[in-house]
Amino acid sequence: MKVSEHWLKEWVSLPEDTQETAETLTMLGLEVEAINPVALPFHGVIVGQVIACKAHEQSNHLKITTVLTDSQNTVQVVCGASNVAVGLKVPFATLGACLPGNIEIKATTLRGVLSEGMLCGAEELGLPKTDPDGLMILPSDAPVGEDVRVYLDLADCTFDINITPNRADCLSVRGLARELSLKYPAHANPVDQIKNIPPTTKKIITATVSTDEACPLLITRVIENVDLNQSTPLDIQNKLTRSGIPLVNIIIDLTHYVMLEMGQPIQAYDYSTLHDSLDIRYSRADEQITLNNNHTLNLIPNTLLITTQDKPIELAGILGDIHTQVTQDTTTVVLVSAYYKPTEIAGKARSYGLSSESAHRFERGTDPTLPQQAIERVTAMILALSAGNPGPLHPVTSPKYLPTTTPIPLRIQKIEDLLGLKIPTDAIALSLKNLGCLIKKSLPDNWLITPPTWRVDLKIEVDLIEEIIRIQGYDQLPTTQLIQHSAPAYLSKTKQLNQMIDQLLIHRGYYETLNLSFVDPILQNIIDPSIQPIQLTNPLSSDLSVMRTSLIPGLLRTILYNQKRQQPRLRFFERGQCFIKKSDKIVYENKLAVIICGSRYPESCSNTPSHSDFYDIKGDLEAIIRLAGCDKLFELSTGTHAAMHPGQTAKILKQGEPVGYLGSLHPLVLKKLDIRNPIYIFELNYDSFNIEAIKNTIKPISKYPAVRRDMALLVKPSITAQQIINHIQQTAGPWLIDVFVFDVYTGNEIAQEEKSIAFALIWQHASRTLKDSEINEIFYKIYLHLNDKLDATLRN
Amino acid sequence: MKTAEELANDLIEAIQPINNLQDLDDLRVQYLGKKGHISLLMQTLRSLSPDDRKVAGATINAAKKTIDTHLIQKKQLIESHLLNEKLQNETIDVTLPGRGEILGQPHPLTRITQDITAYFTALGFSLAEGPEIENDYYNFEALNIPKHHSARAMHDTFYIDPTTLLRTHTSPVQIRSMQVQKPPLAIICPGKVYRCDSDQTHSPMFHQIEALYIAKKVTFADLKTLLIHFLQVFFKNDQLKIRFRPSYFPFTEPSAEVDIQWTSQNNQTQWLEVLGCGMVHPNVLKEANISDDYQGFALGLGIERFAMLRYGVDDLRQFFENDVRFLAQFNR
Repeated sequence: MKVSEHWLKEWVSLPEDTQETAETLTMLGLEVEAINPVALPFHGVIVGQVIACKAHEQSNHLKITTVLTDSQNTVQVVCGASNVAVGLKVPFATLGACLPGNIEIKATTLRGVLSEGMLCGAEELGLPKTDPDGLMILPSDAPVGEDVRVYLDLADCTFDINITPNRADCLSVRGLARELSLKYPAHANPVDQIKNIPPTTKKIITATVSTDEACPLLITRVIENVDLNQSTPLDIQNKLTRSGIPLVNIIIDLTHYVMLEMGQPIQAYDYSTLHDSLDIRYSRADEQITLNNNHTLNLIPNTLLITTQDKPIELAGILGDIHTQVTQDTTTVVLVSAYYKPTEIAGKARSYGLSSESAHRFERGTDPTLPQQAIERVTAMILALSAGNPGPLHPVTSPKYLPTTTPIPLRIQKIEDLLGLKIPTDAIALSLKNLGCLIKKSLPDNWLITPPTWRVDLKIEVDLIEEIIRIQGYDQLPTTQLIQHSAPAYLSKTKQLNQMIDQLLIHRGYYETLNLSFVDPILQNIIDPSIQPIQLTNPLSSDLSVMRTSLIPGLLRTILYNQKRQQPRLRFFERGQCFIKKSDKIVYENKLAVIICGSRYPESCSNTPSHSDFYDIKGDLEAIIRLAGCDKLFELSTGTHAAMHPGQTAKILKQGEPVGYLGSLHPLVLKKLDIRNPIYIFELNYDSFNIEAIKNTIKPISKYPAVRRDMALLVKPSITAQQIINHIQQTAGPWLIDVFVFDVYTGNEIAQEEKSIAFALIWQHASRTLKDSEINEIFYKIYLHLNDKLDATLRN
Repeated sequence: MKTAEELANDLIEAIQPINNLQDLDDLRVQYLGKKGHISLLMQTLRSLSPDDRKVAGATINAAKKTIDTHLIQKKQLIESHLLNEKLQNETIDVTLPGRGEILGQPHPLTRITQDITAYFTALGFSLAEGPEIENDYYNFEALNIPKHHSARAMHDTFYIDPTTLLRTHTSPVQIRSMQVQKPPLAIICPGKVYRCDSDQTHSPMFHQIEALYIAKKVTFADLKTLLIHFLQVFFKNDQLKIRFRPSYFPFTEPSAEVDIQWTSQNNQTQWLEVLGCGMVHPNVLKEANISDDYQGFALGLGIERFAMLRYGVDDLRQFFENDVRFLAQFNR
């Protein structure tokens, strides 16, 4: 809420220092987000009146004017503004004046004519532009000679206050003044003694409420013979514009004024458009309304409406329509002041993409005793400033649906228990009293508190305790011992492992990334075409509209981003939730993905230049699996994936179950994404490590010598090393302790349809030395088996 | 035949030009070998009288010693020369770079998350996590934000369907934890949260940390004490000025926003809001079936905010661009 400091000062005796008032508001929970001065500093500008104006002989756009600067003195001023005319009152910068931007006013000669001062436009004073390219025209009753800063009250500033949703009572000057008067002395104010206006006509409008639970109080009044030609007093104009409310006409300005002053929105209609009928009901299907901003809305059923002859004229409590508003031609107005149940209004404006000052107040909850006070207040102001003949108040009310203030039990001990601060009971009582609460001390330690009607947020004990400490000040809370939970806390093994894996990847040159969890559906489809991703109903943009099913789209985006910035060698990893819908249930998968692009090592004279390949990223994956202690459970085997190179893809299996994949991106995918270098990735579901369940058992080390035999085989290129190893392990007997590939060869020395692959086999017995003859026998057996199953032959 | 002195002098002369160990050894054999000059001279002693033999023997021994000394000295000289030569040849440019991979870095937000989590873990708070796609109940209803509550306007929510949404805060984890753990309990929940908002200070995805403490005796003053300590530890400044001011969250009461006094790069000192907190609202405890002899506090903070303050980053979106030149700058 924006409000003028001077307006608040009419209600409360505030300190000189604006900053101090702001600090007080903030520390009361009414956070001042900005203090904006109404005008930039300037001086020497007074109200001047143009009393003569003639053409300049040397110029066709300049005029020579005579400006009255007080009751008798005049000066000659040359002026170029097109709207200068005899009789106008305008801001006049006298000799020696200083305007915003440090512009000093001196006597000058303009094409031979002396000019002693300057007639000003609003912009020259640093004020919002009013008349297009011209002088700022002041009201005709402006006192000539008065300092313009004083006359326009420009030493004022506005507070921009963030009112939290619970403090509906502070959406008015009166409400803010109540809060400030907790700290500063209050003045007598204009709304304390609102008088009932005696009607001078009997005219009423026939009003009904078809939804009395939603609108338990509706008060209307007709005022005849209003004068719309009256202009809104400058002081009221200033207050409205400083609160960000646009000026419309005297009637609407005054309803806005009372809303700002008291917090009660009031609607005014042109009586002639209403056909003596007003009803409040819910919208039905297929209804429309054209709002006063000229937008036509299709109404959602069950929106609360004000109607006339069944035709909607207002989204009740939100915005009125265009046909019934008070205009310059209106002679009879209908004022409507109501109480709406907050939940009837809450969220409605937003659901139509609208917002209004009125809805903002009603949806937070207004004081149910206000509608009558406010309608009397605005009537009095209309009569005083615009004239008219008021009719009687015409209330339609269902008291059983009006909120009542029920006493709240307050345990004095609970205050200390919750806050950790002992507050003397006198201070508690005073705080509550100052808030407007009624206190009944039924027992010394158990009070009954009745909150004031405007504090619709005070419902339970803790609401009162909060108020008490808010008024005492949070700085009163003492310092205690640092709390210490009774049970120790430690990171789970899995969490620790995740951090170790991150460290391992970092040591291997990877940067961790964080990408948005929503991705471009096109990219998503390239990576995971078989999965229908979860869609957002209200995405920020179409390229952020689906939830990721994989981390790869985000990592590819990162590669592209960096590639565009000439970063050729890239290594990234990311971990995070991915989202998949499986038979209408959302399944969360915690994934880890790694991506590399560019050279194997940073370019340097110390590193051999070479491109990264499949085995680089596979080495990193193997290190992770080993770090997790899972190398016995995991296996990589030839796999396929829609986005991957068909000859360079492995699936990651844990005990036979697929948990991820590894490999090189398909060249067509690279081409689609405009990525120039091969990309290697792996992604795995890291929940699969499940290390809490893994047992680590240690075998004794044999003291007998190990025997190594090398076996170089010639096989068809399609046979994988893993296949051969599996066969070796099946036939190599219980003493085999290791087998690994130490060489792979294709080329001129062997047939084109063959590859050579050489294994080292190592045996060791736990309790004796192995004999050459038994190893030779096993070796031969393995060979026969491989020859039989895989058509392998020994090389040489 | 030459005298012992002559032999010694010959050697001293002959040893001069020698510059390698092989030639030196040849010279040694020539003089001191079994058939060398000294051995031959020794043989002549047999023909002398015992007295003369004694005198002549002493002379030969003296010459032998001289020869020996020179040979050793020369050997040391050559060896040291050779070593110097070897060292000279092996000299490298130590300013050239080391071999292999350069270190990567964790994401700065991960560092901040781990720092904050470590602080709370040390106080006994256990890590808790929850799903990022939530339902209306956990994200709003159970947190005392019913359907038409005006506080819903504070959360610009991404929806998947009318009751399924991307969580707008980490607070749902509070409810999930209270439903499965018996009080007293202390949890810390970091995680991603989502709101439809994007500009220099808002990202549609960002990170929060939530802490929840439920016990029989815990007060608003305890919360304030904890947060002052935490903020002074995090910002490594035990003089850090901190203020608590009243605020409003539907799920806590009393509620506070916490400001720290911060001096910006252009030397302006101002209060900066860094987190929100409060005593858990009775409606929330009731919803989680916590008996009313327990009370507690909750606090929530934005990790990006803490990262921006610690590192002096002013555009929040940079955290999600993952520019490697940005990521490489975070080393602590």
